Amino acid sequence: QTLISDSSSQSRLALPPEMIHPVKLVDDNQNWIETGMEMLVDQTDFLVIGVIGGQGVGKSTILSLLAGNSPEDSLRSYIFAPQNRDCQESCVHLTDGIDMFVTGQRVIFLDTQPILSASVLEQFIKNDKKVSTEFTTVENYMEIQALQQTAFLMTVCHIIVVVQDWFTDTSLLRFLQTAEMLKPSTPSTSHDSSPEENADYFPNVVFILNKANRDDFSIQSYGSMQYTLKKAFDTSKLNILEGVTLADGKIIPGLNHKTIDLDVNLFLLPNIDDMKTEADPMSMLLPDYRGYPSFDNLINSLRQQIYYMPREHLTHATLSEKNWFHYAARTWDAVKKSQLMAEYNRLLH
Amino acid sequence: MLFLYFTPYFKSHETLYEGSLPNKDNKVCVVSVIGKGRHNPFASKASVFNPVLDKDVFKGLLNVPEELIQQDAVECFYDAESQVVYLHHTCMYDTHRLAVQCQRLINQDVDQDFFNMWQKEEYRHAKTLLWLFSISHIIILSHPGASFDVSYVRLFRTIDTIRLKLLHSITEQLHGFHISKDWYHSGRPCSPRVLFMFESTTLTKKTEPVETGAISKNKTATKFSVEKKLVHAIEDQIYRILRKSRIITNISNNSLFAVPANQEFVYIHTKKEEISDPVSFYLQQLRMNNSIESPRSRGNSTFKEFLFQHVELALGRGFDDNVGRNPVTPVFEVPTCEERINAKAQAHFNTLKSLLETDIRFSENRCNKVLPVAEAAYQEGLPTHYVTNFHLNKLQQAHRVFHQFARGPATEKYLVQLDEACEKFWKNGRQLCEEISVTGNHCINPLHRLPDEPELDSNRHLPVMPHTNQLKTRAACNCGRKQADKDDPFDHKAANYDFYAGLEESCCGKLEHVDLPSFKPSTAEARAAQIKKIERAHKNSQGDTPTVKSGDIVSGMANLSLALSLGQSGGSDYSHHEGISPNNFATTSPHVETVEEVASEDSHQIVSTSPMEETTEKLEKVEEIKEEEPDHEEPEAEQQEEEALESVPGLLPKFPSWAVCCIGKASLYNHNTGLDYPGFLHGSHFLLPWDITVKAEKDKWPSVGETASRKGKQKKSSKDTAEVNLRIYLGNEYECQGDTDFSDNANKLVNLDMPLLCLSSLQLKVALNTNNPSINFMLLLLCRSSKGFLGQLMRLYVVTPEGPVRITVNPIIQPAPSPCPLFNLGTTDVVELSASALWVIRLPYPFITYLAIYIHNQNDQD
Repeated sequence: QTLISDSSSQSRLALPPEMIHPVKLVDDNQNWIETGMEMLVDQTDFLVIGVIGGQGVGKSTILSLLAGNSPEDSLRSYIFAPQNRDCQESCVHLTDGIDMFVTGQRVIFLDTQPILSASVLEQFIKNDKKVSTEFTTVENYMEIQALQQTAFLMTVCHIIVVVQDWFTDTSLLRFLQTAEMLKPSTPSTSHDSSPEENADYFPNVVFILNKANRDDFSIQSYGSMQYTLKKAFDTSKLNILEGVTLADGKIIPGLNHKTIDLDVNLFLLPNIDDMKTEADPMSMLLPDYRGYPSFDNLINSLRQQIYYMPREHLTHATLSEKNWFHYAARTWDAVKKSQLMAEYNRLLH
Repeated sequence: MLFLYFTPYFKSHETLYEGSLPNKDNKVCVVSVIGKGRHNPFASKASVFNPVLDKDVFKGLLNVPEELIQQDAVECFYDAESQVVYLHHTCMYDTHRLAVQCQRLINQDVDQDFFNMWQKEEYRHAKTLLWLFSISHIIILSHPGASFDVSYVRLFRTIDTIRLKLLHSITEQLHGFHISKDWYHSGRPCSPRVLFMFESTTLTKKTEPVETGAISKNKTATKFSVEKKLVHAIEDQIYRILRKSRIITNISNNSLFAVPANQEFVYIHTKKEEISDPVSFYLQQLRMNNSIESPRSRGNSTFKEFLFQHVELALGRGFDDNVGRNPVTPVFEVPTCEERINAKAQAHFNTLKSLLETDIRFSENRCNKVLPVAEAAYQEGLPTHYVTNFHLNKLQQAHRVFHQFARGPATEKYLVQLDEACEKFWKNGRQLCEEISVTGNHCINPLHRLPDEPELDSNRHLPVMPHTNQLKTRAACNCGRKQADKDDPFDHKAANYDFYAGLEESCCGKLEHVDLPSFKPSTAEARAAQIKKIERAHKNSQGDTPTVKSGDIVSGMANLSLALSLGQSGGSDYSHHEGISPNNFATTSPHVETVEEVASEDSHQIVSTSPMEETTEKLEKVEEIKEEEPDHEEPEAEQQEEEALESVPGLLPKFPSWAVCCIGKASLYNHNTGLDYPGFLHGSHFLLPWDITVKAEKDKWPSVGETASRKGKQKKSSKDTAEVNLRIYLGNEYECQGDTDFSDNANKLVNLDMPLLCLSSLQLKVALNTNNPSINFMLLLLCRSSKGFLGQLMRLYVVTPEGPVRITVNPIIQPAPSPCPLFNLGTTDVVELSASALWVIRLPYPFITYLAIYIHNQNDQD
């Protein structure tokens, strides 16, 4: 143990520090925090997963489950704290800014504050002085901030998990494409390299429908959701066709490549609480008919599929974890000062 | 009761109403449902009214015809009992509708992108909302989620802006109806109340009791308070947000809508009362021990309570949602049916459109800004004139610049503009003529019209000039004595006829020519049938099989018989060696036998053919001599070709590409001084003497006189007496075709010393192999430059002896590896050369068929 603490001076062989709680990457004032650097090491085999979604849809919960929590864990032991009763009752959000957690498998999870959220907006209204004069209205300020955050994730994440609790808010789909439009260009390695080498980076995007109900798991509904997302992103360059799917033939009978002919990254999760209430044995004579696999099975399959997704290089040069952190810091700075964002803001009324 | 399905802007529905509504004097309260809907084929966002109405009125879109799904629509239901008109607005925000539409677009492969579709949809949606806000008393904004959807804030503000702008035209529309003054002036019956409805809640189930039957009063109280607490929290949140954005103000008449100050305006559906999933419904029924009992009874609906407090107020004294110290009497009217029907505003909404299109405006602005930058990138460093490839490269560069900065949905549109602008720039007098000379060099003139080209609309504006690239090579005339600069030819007449014809006058015009067949029109207007434009033979890969199969040649011949009969020719892009066997005692050839019979003499046939080694590497080693002999398959093949050649019926060329002329008496050539023509490499101007012994046994091959060492090897076989020794001189002249980079070295005419050796070696092989050797068509010449150049076989010299022999020639050239065709003089018979004279046969350069040009390119040797 002394050996490990000694090597905090970062010898290359040092074990990466084991994290128990997430650290802040961006604080609630949208400032970059450097402490996350200590959690990273100099190796290049890592995966960055970010999450985007509205208020109270289960971003933190799903990210915790992907990061290793099991649905049976008590809420208090979740890596990213889920909403507590107080939050639920007063309809406020819990995560401010961006939190980072690194697992032992070197997967970096980024949990974010909700986008397009009434609660975030209300917070701005309460702290009126924080809104800079360049924003005509406070909701424009909120929108630009959400765009900055999303554009940031689109630049530094391999995979972005988009969580919704109903299918589907078209405003959210449009918002993602606006963020894609405003995302900073991937820095090119040199001036005379070919255009293919200088192609912009676009992350994989996985849609998750949380709190899905029985009918959502039917072939018709799942297929029609796939079509909707495919069409909605037909002009987008985000990689939504990497095949994170329910229709691999193993999860739900009838959902396979024959019945579902698209492979949009769309995964459904039922309400996690449904399972918990079932644990109450005597409440019913008959076990309830669910019509979909257990939450456990689904989250395991999702975790597996996401970990197996192809990882593209974020930049033209190979990054180590530490390089990534610097790159992320630079990107955050770039999106905050982005000319594109400023231009877009001027068009908002 | 009435259930209507209509689209507000596309169909007139006045008559439907008038006939159906029972009492025109009844007061009605108009309740509209707007908002987004989750993906559910069985229920819509208005299905929550079903328990209120105790009737399955608002259903999902499962059974709605597809053409109705494509438009947004307002479902209308009049509940006469409670005097409420329900209007349910469905649009693409109802996900099921969107899903059907997307599926249709993908399946039918309609080329309409989502962005366009959505842009139109948003505009329609906003217009419909504006209409609903102008006619409703109560508007229920339904949320499938659990928290307020902030995207409505901007939408409300937009609609409010437009409403105020349109107020005047709405008032005009309302003119003539029996409505109150207040309605007339404000353009609406009242400032509507908006109620917010949430279909789900963030409250986790753990906080709720599992079975309603099992709860104690205590628990109910807890549950009640938790829900109430959430409702109030959301109400506060919404109120604060709407106030901040000035959508609701103290004076409700000035606002788009109002929220009640002292009543609840948020409702959360914690428990579904309507049927939204048939399977769950039946399971639930089963669970209730088959005692089918309607789960929704009017009395139990808390939603109904929530809704009707507002409805009753509306039908009663009206809303007063003003806040503040100086209350204004609110404008509130409850319309009679007739009035409300016609109170529909029809106006145009341009500002609305632009307010909704932030993304497209951003993208347009952005692209507009980038377009000149990209165009500048295209125009940067352009030469005055340039060809298509150059244009496309620059265009690609411009695209790169454009993509780097352009963003969003307008990108494609502007990319097309960029392409158009750049192409226009190029076509506007910056096009270079793209004609390529037969040697593969570009014409360097701007796009132009040839002097003999007919004037068309498409080329009228172009300057008239011939092709040129100012490249000149030094070449000699037919007989080889006079040199001149040869322009890089753009057609093969210029290459193989015009140049030589031009030199005839000053040099070889008076010499005896063998008349080669060509087409001589009987009238001046005669025109050749249009032949396909010549295409350049693409350079073969270096890996081409060097071995020539006889079968290939024959088939190649068959295909190209026309070309052969035209007597035209070509050379490949690469170096070919070619063997010539200037002398082939074709005793085995039936053709020669007949000659012999006639002449009762020996006959010579000069056959030049092409073999075999094509690779440049080999070629460069060939400084001295190719010891290689023709492939063993070759002779046979050539025999066949010869026959094929003779049997080909064909068209005559318009002009001869070859020339055969007699320079003069045999005495012109003195073996001591060699050929005294300019341009030969030093020491390489001697012809090869070749001694023939006539009267030899038929099967004996005469041997060629040569260097001492070679002679030693030669077996002197013929010792018969009555022999006549004759000496023929032979030579093949290689002409080096100019290379622009080395123009001072390029004009060398080189001759002979190497061919001598070549011939002798080949001769050996002839002796071993019965017949048909060949010589190299291309040869590496060592000029002044150390690099050396390839010379192409250009002339064959023959000094015929005086004596009892007939000398005939029939050169056959294969300038490129198979399937390159073979070329000959185009005569039907061999050409006989007169005795005791110096003859020269000039070969074409380059060899051209109507299919391809065979040419050797110097630069490829580097």
